[in-house]
Amino acid sequence: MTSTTVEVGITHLPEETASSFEIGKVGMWVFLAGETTVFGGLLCVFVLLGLHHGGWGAEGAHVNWRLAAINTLILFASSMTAALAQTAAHAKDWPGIRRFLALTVLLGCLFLAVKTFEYAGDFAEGFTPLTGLFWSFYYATTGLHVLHLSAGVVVLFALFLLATPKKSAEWLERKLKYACLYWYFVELVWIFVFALVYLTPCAA
Amino acid sequence: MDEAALSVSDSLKTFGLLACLLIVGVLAVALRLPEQAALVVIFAAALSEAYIVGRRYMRLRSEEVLIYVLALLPLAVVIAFAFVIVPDIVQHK
Repeated sequence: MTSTTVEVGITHLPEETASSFEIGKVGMWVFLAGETTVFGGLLCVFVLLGLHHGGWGAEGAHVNWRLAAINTLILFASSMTAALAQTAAHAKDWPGIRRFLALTVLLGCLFLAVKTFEYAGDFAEGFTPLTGLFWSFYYATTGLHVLHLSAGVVVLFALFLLATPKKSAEWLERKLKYACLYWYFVELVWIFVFALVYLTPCAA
Repeated sequence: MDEAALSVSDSLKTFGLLACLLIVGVLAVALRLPEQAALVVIFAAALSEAYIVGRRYMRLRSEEVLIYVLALLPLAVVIAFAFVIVPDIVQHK
């Protein structure tokens, strides 16, 4: 246990207390808490309206769950590469950080490409956001998720550009931790979007 | 917080586990299981995937109380929200 102190205003706090309170991490969790409420509320209304309509079976039969399953696998792979980028950052392995960040960004772009293909198919079949309640929720939920994922891709790409030995390894590891936390959250949201919007209506 | 990074083999194992759970959920639809059984399988798989992501990647297991509060508070808000709008939906039926 360290006995050194850090000066904060006129108060002296033990160094361990001061360093364990990561304001960046808490800030990220506050942001994720807000995002959880947004997605939670949206999915909650989707489920309750589905129950009100006696299920989404008829509309849900038209969603392309096979492409969504491929996208889920892509997101799982991207989380693995993000975790490996964090591992590389911990080991100060600069080529490793860049390699795994590049892979994560590429997998994120692949997800967006598959999603675009899926939307194109839905539109070609005549299912637009104006087709009905189910499709409004489908586009709102998956579209909001796509926006979040795109933001994650931009942030990870920025970190890829910044990942040079000129930067402090500790700085990069910390920023990568926050960015990856966001990326895992986006994956977590997709797990429930996939189960509720794609699989559940097809099971009915 | 345990900041030890995941090893390559740990990351691969986690990915493998998530992929297996994904296949289980998808099979429930592809094999056209009875609706109730399919829903149980789909949600069990989804909750297990979420638990693995939270524990292995987000490292929620070793976080401090404040982070748990921040993670659980919005879920409580959403559950409360659901209960509040249920009467409206029942009335409209």
